[in-house]
Amino acid sequence: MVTWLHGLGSTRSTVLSSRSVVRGLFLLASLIILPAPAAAQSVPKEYQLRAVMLWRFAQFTEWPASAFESPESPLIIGVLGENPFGDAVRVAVKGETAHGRRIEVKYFRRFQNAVTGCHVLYISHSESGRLTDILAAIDRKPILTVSDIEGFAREGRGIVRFLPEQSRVAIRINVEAARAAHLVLDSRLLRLAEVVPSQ
Amino acid sequence: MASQQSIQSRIRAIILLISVVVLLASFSAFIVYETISFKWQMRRHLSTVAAVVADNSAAPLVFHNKQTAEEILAALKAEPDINRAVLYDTDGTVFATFPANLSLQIIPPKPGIPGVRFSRQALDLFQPIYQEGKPLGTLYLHSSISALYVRLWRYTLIAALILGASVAGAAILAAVLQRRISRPIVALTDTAQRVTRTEDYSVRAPRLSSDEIGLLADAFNTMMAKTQEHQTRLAEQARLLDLSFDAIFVLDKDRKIIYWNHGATEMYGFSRQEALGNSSDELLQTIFPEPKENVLKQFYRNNRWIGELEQTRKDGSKLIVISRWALDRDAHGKHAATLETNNDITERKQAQRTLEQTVADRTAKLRETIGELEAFSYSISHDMRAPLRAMAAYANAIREDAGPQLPKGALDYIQNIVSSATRMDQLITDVLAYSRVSRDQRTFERIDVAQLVQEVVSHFPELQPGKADIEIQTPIPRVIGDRASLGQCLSNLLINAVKFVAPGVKPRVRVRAEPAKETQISVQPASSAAAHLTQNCGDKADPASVDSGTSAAPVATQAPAFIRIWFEDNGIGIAQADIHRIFGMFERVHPREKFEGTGIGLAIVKKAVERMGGRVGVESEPGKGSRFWLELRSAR
Repeated sequence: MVTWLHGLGSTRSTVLSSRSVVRGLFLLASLIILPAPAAAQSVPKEYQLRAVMLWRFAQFTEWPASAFESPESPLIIGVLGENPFGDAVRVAVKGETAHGRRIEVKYFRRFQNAVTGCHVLYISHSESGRLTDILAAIDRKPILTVSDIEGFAREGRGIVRFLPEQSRVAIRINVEAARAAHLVLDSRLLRLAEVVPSQ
Repeated sequence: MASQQSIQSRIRAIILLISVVVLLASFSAFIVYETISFKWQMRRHLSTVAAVVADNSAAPLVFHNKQTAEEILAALKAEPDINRAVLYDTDGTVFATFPANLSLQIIPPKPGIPGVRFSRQALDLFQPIYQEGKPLGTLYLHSSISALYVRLWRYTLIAALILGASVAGAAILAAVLQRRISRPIVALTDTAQRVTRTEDYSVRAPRLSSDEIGLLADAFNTMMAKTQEHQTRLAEQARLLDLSFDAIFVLDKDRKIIYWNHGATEMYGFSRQEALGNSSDELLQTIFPEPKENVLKQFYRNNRWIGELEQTRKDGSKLIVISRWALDRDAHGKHAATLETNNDITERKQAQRTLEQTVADRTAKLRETIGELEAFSYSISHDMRAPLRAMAAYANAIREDAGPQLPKGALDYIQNIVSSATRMDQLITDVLAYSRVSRDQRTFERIDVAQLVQEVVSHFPELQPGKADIEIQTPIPRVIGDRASLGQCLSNLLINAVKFVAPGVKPRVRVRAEPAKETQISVQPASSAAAHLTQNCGDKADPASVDSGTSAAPVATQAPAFIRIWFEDNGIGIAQADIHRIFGMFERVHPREKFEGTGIGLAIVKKAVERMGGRVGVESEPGKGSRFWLELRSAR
């Protein structure tokens, strides 16, 4: 919530730049007029926080250079399956960067599309049945996989799992899976997480 | 010695002062540098710590993990100085603190301006935390700076210890090293003081160093050598001055004696020690020939003075000195000193007095002899007249009684006898007259010259108006003189004037008077006669001279007024060569055959006038007449 507000504050601060005044006004208007905030409000608070964390994970993770087409290429966050965040992810990443790259959000229905077109991939509950296929398809591609699905990090080859805890974010990270994906996770992130397999 | 202590202690004090100042300055600089450097170090260290903590705090802030944030902050307990830490989120709300239970009262409620700030007690730091260029929150660290004070205090203590040790060391070194400087100075000072005390200029200063002090010692020695040389020369000069028989002494501007030579000691009996510092006038009881103020005035005007002084010796005896003073003036022309040279003339003075007495005695004796001679010649002359008259009388008797019987030649012989006898008689008469004006006591009175001239003219046939023109230019002031003598003078002069004329010329004489010029009186040699005259005047108590008043006063300085009486004739005049001798006895300028006379007349005039205190003279040129004059005292 606080971070979300921070994102809003950040948006306001860009208003100070004359070039972005129009855009800022447009954004403000869209926040008020569009049903997005109403939709966001209907999203559970837990998911609002997780929406923010998705791009924050990106900030604490390093990809190999081959993961991007060019230095200017955006960092893409993908949501596979049923979207539990509503518009929250799109709102959260607006104006934010990770490793100096713009962040884009994409929504996927089919995992075959998802495994080639994103850097962070949230795998929704709706995909529980196809999880093994999905992870197999990802194989060792440099994709930070995130999910709520039970056993995602511990048994499976998923990397980050949101642990179900009320209003307090706790995550589990499978460092071997991350290493296999050629991703380097910031130790600060690891410090906040429950790391598996435990040493 | 005081100077010794002074220079030594001064050098020591300077060395100590310099060490203390240098050390204090060094320590101050060091401490200031250390403080700045330590503060910078503290600041850097705190910044480093803050950077690490802020970096570590990013994830907990991002993921709102307060527990992890507090764990990260708790790591700060490894830094003993950092006693407070706070993490604020982007809103400025406190997110986590260290220690975890930190009271919110003592922490800044909101993050301050980013940066490190020293306060009196502490070092405060606000470090914004960014992620991807976006602010995540702020870290606040509060570090105690007691370490700085501990360090400063330790440095001060060390500085004080080093300072104390250094000053002690410097004091010892100074005590040792200052001798190198002070010893030659002290030696030089001692030498100078010994010279002052003993006045021994042969002393030389030891040369203990080759620096400026050594040069000073050399200069001192050179100066001493010169002084010694001067001293020797002065002593030599003083010795020569002491050789002088004259008393030589020097007076300062207050006339106090500052030099006194051996001659002065011998002359006056006062030793140098007794004389120095005294007033010479009081010491010698000097009697000046005129008031001392006048003498000094003349002296200061002329820069020198010469005169006779009467002074008294130490034993009380008097002496007379010729004193010569010379004034020495300083560069500004002020009286600096008087050099007085005195020459004892007491004996010479006495000899002079004796001589004067002898001369007076002899003169008196001589005058007596002359008087006797004059009396003798007078009586001889007088007695010669009787036989002469007898001769003349008998010759006349022969001519009268037996004249016709006698041959022509015999009558001529008789005539020769008569005329010779007559001439002889005239001669004797004149000699007697001369001797009378020389010898006779005279009675001075006021004489009317014009009237006396009239009387003389009436007595002599050759002066009568038919024979000669005697013109008297009146008025002629009355004069003081002896009537008989003056009558004699007038008749002699007038008869001379009418006698010496060219053949066929009628004699013409003009008598006139004028005041005599004073200078002529004062330089003429007959002034003693004038004094004699005044003396006589007083002795005789003559009423005329008493009447004249001023003339009786025995004051030599006030010359009596004189009247010059001129006798101007139209005679043959006198050759220049003869003028000086016509007033002599028996001097004849013209042969007897041409002009009759005895040659005594003018001698009588001269003698008579001089005995009256006057003078005679003549101005003449051959063919242009003579102008005789005589000067006599005026009877005012």
